[in-house]
Order: sequence, then C-alpha cells, then structure tokens
Amino acid sequence: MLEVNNLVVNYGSIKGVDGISFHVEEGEIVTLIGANGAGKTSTLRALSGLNKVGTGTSIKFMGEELTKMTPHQIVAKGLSHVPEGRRIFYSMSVKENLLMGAWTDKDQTAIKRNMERAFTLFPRLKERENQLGGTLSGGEQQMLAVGRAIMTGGKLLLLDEPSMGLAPIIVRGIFDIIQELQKEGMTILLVEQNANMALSVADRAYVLETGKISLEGPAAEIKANDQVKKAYLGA
Amino acid sequence: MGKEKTLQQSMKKEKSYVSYFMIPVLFAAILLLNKAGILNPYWYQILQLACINGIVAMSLNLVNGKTGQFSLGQAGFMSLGAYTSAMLTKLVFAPAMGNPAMSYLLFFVSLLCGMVVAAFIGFLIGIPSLRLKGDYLAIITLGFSEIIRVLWRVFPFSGKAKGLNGIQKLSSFPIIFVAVVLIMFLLRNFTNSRYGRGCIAIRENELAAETMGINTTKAKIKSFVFSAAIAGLGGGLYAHLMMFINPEMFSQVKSTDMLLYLYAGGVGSYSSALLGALIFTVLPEFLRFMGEWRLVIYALVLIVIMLNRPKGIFGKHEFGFMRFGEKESIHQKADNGGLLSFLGKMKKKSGPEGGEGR
Repeated sequence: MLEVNNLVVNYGSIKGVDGISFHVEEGEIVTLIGANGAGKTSTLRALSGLNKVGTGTSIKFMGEELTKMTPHQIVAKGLSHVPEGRRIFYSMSVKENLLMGAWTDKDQTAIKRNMERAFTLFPRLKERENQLGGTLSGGEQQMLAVGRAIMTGGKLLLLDEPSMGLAPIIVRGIFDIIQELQKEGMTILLVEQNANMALSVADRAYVLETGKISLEGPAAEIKANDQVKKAYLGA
Repeated sequence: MGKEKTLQQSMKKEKSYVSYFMIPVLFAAILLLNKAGILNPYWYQILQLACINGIVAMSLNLVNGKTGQFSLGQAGFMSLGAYTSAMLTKLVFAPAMGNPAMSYLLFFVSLLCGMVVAAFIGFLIGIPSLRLKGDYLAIITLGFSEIIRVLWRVFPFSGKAKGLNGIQKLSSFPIIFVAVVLIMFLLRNFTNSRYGRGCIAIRENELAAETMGINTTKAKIKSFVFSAAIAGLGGGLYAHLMMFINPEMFSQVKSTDMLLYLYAGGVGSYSSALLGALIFTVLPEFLRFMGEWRLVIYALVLIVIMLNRPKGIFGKHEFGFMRFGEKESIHQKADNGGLLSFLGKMKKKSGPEGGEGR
C-alpha cells in the first residue's frame, strides 16, 4: 500500500532522516520505534508532505508518487495524519472539530457515516459533542485527534505518538482503539516512543536510530531482540 | 442514540430573530434623533466616521481575528480605495453626474472600483507573504502601507502631498449604515462557509489545518484579499465623507488605530470590532472638554481595559444576527469572555469556571 524508498529529510545541513526504506501492506499495523531525535516524526511529516524530502526519495502510496504533492493533495489521496501533540482546534466544539476532518468531503451521507463511526469508537466524544476542544482532557483530546483523522476518510492512518503525556490506563484505551480500527480494515503506521505498547499491537516494526533503520522484522521478533530489550524496553 | 437524526436536524438549535429587527429600529432611531435635532450635525458626522472605522476594523478582524494572521497595513488598503474612488468621482465621472440618481450610481461604481483595486493589490502582496508561516505578513503589510502613502505623494492625479480636495459629499448616514450591515452579513456568510471554517482552523492550528486537507495558502490569500476589498470600501466611503484626503491621513497611525479598535473591542468577533470602533472613535471626541488631558485619559482607559479584559471589552461575543439567530452554548459563552461574561459571573456568583484565557 505504502512503499517508501531512500527517504531523506534535511534540516539545513543536518540529516534528520538518512535514506530509510520501508513499506506498509494493506490491513497492517506497522510501527516505527526509536529514541528522541531518531527521525520518527520527520518521517511521518515527510509522508504527508509537511517536510520537504531529498531528491532521491520516492514515496509511493497505492501506486501514486507523493513526493511532489502538497499536504492537502496528499490528504485527498487517503493519507490521514494525526500529528504529534494532538493539535486539536481549541475554540471549536468537538463536533466542529470532527467536521473539520471532513473538510475535503462533500458527500453528506459519507460525512454522517464517518461521524457515527467516530462516535461509536469514542462514545466519550458523543457525550461531549458540544464542549469546546480546549476544555477536554488530554486523553479526550487524543481521542478527538484520532476521530478527526477518521473523518478525513483516509485508508492509511499515520499516528504520531498517541501515548504522549497520557496516563497508562488512557494509553491502553487508545491502543485498544488502534486494534479496533485495524479490525475495521484500516491500515496504520504508528510512531511511538512507548516501544513496549507499540510492539504489542503492531504486526511489523522498524527500529530507527539517528535517521537510519537499524532493525526490522515482525513485531514479536523485535520485542524478543536483546538489543531492543536493553535499549527501549528497559529489561 | 435512540432516534435516527440527520446531521442537519441535530445541528438545529433554538433561534431568536430579535437582533434582526434591531437593525431597522436602530437605523430609524438615529435618523429620528438627527431630524429632531438631538443628535447634532457634529455628532452625526462623528457617528458616520465611527461606522467607517467599524467597517475597516471588521475587515481587519477577518485577517487578524479569524485567520490568525497579523496585518499591520489596513490603512494602505483604505487609501487605495479612497484615492481610486475619489479620483473617479472627481476627475472621471464628474461631468456625467447630473441628477442625484446618476451620481449615486456612479458613486457606487467608483466604490466598487476602489474595492477591486484594493483587492488586486492585496492579492499581489498576499501571494508571496502568505506562503510563509509566521510574522512575515506584519512586516510586509507595514512596509507596503508606507510605500503606498509615499506613492500617493508623487502620483500625478492624486493632488500629490497637498492632497485631493473638492471631493463631492456622497457618503451619508443611510449609505454608510447599509454598507456596515451589508459587510456584516457578507463577513458572517464568509466566515461560516467552508473557507471561513478553514480560516478558523488555520488560526487555531495551522499544521493541523494542513493535515485536514486545507490548502492553507489559498485560504489565507482568500481572506486577506476579501479583507483588503472591504478596507477599500471603507476608504472610499471615508473620502466621500471628509471631502478631502491627503496621504498623511493613511499613515501608520491609521493602521494602528484600526488595530486598537479591534483589540480593545474584542479580537475574533465582528460585532466587537464594530463596537470597539464606535466607542473609541467617539470617546476622544467626548473627552474633548478636557483639552490636553484627553489623550492621557484615553490611553489610561485603554490600559485599564487591556489589563482587566484581555479578550477585549466585548470578548468574542457576536450579535444574534451574526450567529444566524442561534443561541450561544454555555461552552461558547464561557470561551467568549468580555464584559458580558464578567457581568454574568457577578450576577450568579457560582458561574461556570474559566471565562478568561485558556
């Protein structure tokens, strides 16, 4: 579904991401794990067009080259990005936030269907539909960010650190939803610092280290790897 | 969920149309007050000037309040509208202005031309500066308005530095009032349109807006150009009210005045921008009996307001007709801030928490 070859992201003369290649198949949960500054967020931002990529880079999504497209064109192709730090619209109500996700969608019945889907996944959002985004708790804001991305009607969901700043029990809830989404047929690319949690839901994993992929394979295998255990899982 | 509801039905709220009726009532009241001699010509003129300032302050709110960009050059667009329309009525259309109907028609045409010119220049400035994120727009618009001001001093038909005089007095209270109402409805509809919601999303979080599939550059340029056109209309009305314009009228001070009206009234709301312009145009005139001290008092009033009501006197509240007559939800009210929520809190001591700031 997604085929990334030789992805390079430069920040001035510094290489944020240094020629990584990976792929995501339909229906999978793939996770990129790594320490701070490894290039995880840069990778996701490059995929959705928010970061410029190097000249040799190729990003193919369902057979189409994305590298020359602008962010709004990429969203229209079916790539939904849940940015790091949630970034919901504070002075809009929960419902308005969700409707913003459907900005590119002109089909009223599709919008309604997606809205119901978001509300079934997150009943809490339904309870708070008229409350303003800024007054939600951190966990609810994360739910809203994911719900909003679902509203874009994308086929591939890019999740950037959904566990950031949340209590463990809330994190578990979010990851349950991620698995739920996979069952519904969504493909997910998950970027996480919470490697333990990410590896327990993912099918495959890539370990990023200072802009390069140091390890890749099935999630269970990565989880059992001694090096990974030592570096990221604290065992 | 028990009953199946459509999206539209569930969005429907209680409506109240009182505010719509207030518009003609207010209009008639002011006309009557003027006819009866209670509102003397001096204050009548001040009121018209205040309404024009309101139009420009509202146009600024579209960029600064709704789209989250920062424009510092609204006087530049005003001068474009003022000079274009004044030169048209004075130099081009004057021979054709025989009967009143014809002269008002031509006045209307020249106002439109002023808007178009302002919009076009706004477009030219917007393209390079709105592609960037951050405060570039403030610097570029600041520079632009100074350039325009200097250009009018050398432009052949504009009367150069001594200004353009002998402009016909074609602006009148009814025309300005209709313009204010019309602009408010236009701005309301734009803000509640798809693009308007996109603009608000950009204000709230530009990156998130991009990930929603919004072409942020296009949305920003649209609102900036629309805002420039409205400021141009304000300028055109201004020129035909004062009957005289010179480049110094549209200096940086004018742009700053507009910012003051907007931020003291309440940034983010058109109604507050209008009321801010009304209050702060009338207040210095009202304080005139104090002589030199009036500017001190004026500044003090501003400081006290900004310290106590950081969201402006009226916060983000809108008149009822600016909300299509819909009621504000309690959550909305709490977020709006301003004097109303403050008074509300005074009334019932245990109001909802967190009115000011977020």
